[in-house]
Amino acid sequence: MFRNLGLLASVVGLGVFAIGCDAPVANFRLNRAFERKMEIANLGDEKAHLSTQQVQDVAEILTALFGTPDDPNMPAVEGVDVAKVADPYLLKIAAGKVGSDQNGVAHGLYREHCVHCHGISGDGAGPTAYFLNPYPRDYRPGIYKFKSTKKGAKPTHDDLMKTLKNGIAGTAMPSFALLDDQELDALAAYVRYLSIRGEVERKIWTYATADLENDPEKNEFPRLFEVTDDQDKLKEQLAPYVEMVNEVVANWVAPEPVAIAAPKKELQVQDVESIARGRALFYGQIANCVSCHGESGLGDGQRDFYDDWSGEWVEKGKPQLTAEYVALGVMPPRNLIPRNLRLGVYRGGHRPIDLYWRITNGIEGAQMPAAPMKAADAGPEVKGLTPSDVWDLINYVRAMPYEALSQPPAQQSPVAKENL
Amino acid sequence: MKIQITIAILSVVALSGCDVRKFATDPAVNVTEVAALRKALGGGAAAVGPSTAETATPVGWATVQGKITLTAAVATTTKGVDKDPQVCGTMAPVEDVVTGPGNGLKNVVVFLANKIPSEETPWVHPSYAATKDTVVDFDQKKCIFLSHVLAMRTSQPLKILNSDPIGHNTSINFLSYNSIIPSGSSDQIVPAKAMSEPSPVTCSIHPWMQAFLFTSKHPYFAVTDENGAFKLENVPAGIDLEIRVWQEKSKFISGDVKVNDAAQKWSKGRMPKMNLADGDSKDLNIVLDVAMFQ
Repeated sequence: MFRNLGLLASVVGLGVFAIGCDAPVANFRLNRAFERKMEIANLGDEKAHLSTQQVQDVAEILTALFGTPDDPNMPAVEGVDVAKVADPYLLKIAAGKVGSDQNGVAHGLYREHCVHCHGISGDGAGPTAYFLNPYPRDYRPGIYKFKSTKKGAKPTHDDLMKTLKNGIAGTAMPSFALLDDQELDALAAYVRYLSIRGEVERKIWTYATADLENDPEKNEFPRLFEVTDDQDKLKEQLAPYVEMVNEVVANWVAPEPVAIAAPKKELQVQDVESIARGRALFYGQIANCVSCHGESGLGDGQRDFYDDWSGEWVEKGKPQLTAEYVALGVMPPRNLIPRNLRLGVYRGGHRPIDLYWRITNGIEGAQMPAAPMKAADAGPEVKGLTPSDVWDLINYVRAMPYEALSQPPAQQSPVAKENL
Repeated sequence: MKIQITIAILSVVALSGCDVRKFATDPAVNVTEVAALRKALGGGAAAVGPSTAETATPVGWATVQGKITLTAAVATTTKGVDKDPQVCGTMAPVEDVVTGPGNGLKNVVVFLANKIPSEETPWVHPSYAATKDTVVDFDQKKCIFLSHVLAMRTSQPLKILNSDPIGHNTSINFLSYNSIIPSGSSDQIVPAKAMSEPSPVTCSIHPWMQAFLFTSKHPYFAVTDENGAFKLENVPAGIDLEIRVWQEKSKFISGDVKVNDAAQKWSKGRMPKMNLADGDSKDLNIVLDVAMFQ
């Protein structure tokens, strides 16, 4: 009997082994955790849910606007050349199944290179995500850390290309420098497309829970649109969603990098005076780096924050909600640890210019604030950092990995005492 | 036999190996409907144009004022804090429910949720033009935001000050703003973006610090004072006014409330719509059950 059972299990198991686990059709997954969050926030009853029909309506609007992972679509926007944001041809080669066309152009780039971490919907919850720390980026909120633009602005194309080409040091994000430029352009366009889709989806959930006349008590949940043969009427019903697309896409058109004030003289690794000035700023009250990065600079100053991607799923005193969101597909929230500056590993790039952007713009989605800046000729009575102060700070930060930690901070110094 | 066992083990692995986490499946889309939607969207934004929700035109001005009180006072509490004690002390007040004299509920945001399509008469009273870009101060002292709940117009500059001898940073996630405010200095921003509900203001250096900011395109909003009093002056008359009420702990106030001694049921902070005549003044005496805030 045991033998037969074993045989049966073997046959079934081998069958599964041979067929594999592949999901049959690639579909975008709805952001159900965000739906739930909005239901709780807006329906006025924590137990209330949108109706299945409404959820289906959201899926249908999204599919009509953005297509499917095999056939992506970038909706047209009045007065905007959407091809500049996400070119249809580039989307086509980034999307779909892995393969190549008769000209030898590779297709399915996202699924070949990205999907296992970032997920088919760009939710940062692909199958390998659970093994990684930090988690892969969830593109759907449309927030990016490593960019040359001001807080609140989207990354430029160059910013995304830099991340693709260099990878992100200290994380699982590798370099894709071996891909050709068109392939990288396509991946950047596809990432923008996933973000735009994700941001619009969030707006739709907010709208469906907050603006529709839902009445959970009477079990009345109006549809998000009524299909009718009258094209004008249908268009009118879809107007709010078109407006959401317009709003989201507008931010992605030509984001401007922040201009950088060049250092007075070329940055020199051995400029001990600059390093000493930078050190004083690091521990000083104005830049106040020490408050999060710690007295030691090991990133142990403040360790109980969350970044925006995790923090969204944490509500004080309500762990059961977090559990519910995790069950709906978000990554279990993790604390945000300030960077250990003694390692010499800089995720957003190690060039001085990268650090300049991090310090003066802050880091979007993380807790790093922008440094208070003042004009180069402002006197000491004006509190803030001049561009030249920032260069000093960068010099010190870049010297930190080489500074001895074995002495208390007050005594240690990478430079001679008279320079301090 | 050994081979069989190996195969059996492999099979079990194969059977259990698929998909680490399973989630509820999304409803399947109706492809006919998607095609119809796609067709309607075909022309893109140009073909559709923005929605025109509000059709009624206001006739004159009215005033809505009142008082929000609780059935009983709520005792103030504090929590221990552990950073920069020389400035912040060791205890910080918990300000999520604050009652004043006569159990007035402080820091409630009362605002008009209607779409106000223009900033001119008949929608916005001319008296508001003077304060359209008046600077609003937002200060912090002893590691406490002095305005715990602040409401302002999107056009007004927000001046963030720091009256402490130590550095703070002020983070307003909704506005993608997060900047260090050195001791004794200030920074100024114009919000520009309107909020649908008040949004938190925090300081990462002192994580217990929290305040709420509400920005609105139109001037019809108020924050209750320690008596629980609020006043929306010169709101457009002759249209269905939709007033929403938000409090930090309960968020949009929902459930059974008493207004001028009559029972009402609010959903998502919405008062029943009211339509006032020119020159009207509506007084609302709102009593909330203290249990909502415990």
